[in-house]
Amino acid sequence: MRRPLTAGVQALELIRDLCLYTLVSAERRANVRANVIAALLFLAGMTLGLFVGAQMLLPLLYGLPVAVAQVARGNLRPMAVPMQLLTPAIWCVILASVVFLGKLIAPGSTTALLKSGPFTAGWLVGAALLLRGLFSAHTRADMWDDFRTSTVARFATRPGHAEPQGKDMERVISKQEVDQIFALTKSQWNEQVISAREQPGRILQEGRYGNTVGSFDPKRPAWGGPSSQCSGTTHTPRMR
Amino acid sequence: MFRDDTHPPDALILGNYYPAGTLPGPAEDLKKKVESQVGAELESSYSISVVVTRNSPPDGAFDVVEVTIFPPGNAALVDKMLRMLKEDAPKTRP
Repeated sequence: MRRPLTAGVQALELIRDLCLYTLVSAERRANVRANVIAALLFLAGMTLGLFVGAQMLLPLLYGLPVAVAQVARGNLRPMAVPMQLLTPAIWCVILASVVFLGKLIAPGSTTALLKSGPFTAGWLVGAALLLRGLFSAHTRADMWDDFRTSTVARFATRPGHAEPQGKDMERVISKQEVDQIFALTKSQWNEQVISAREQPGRILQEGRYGNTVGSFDPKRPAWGGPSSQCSGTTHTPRMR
Repeated sequence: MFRDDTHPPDALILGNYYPAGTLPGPAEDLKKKVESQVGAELESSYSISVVVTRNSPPDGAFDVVEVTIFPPGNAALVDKMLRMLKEDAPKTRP
């Protein structure tokens, strides 16, 4: 009689262990699934924060002030300023449309997504990473490049701000002038530079390896010159 | 750039300074374009070195295109001069 009883107890213990194992495993699986979903929501939010921030925040925080400053200096036409608002406005409309459609098609999911903690956290982290770039010289240089190609090229008021290609590329110096300069001694060169100083707009700086002459082009505006140590040219270098 | 009072210059430096942000396109493209134009102008009689430096306010007020022309046939001198130019480069520009 004792044997069947023992066997029954063992079977019950085995069933209990199996049930516990299954329960624990299901909990673990649920936890893992929840964590993966949270991570994906965080990544999606961060990507959206970076992308939308680049389209909406940067034009407002970087492009707009720079455009206002350039217009105030007379380098860009006034239309450059409202154009900085165009892209953020377009993206506002796109985002509003997406949210509206989402609430129309799947209201529960859309609301849950918008209220999701990981999604919001990701969005904020993405936006913060983007704004951090405003304090980086490298990123500012990139933004300046974008601004140059998107705005300066379209709204520049001076030829010097336009794309210099082909016939716009001005000559810096001629071969004849270079030949003449390389035939001079230091004292001859310095004499030429001193005589060039007499011409309007020329500046002279004495240097250890020879004098420097420079000039200012008010049309560009740009400083240029056989800077340094040489050059007998008597015209403003016209490189664009 | 003269080494003394008796010899002709060892290098000719042409520096152009533009308001920061007004040089178009990538610096490398502009460098190649300037090298090509200056090389064509000088008919390969001289060695040239072109440096394009771009700045963005407030880090720098000027974009710079600097062309250095060397007389032909002295590669060692060219290297030496380039080193000297780097060492003697002024901290501020007009």
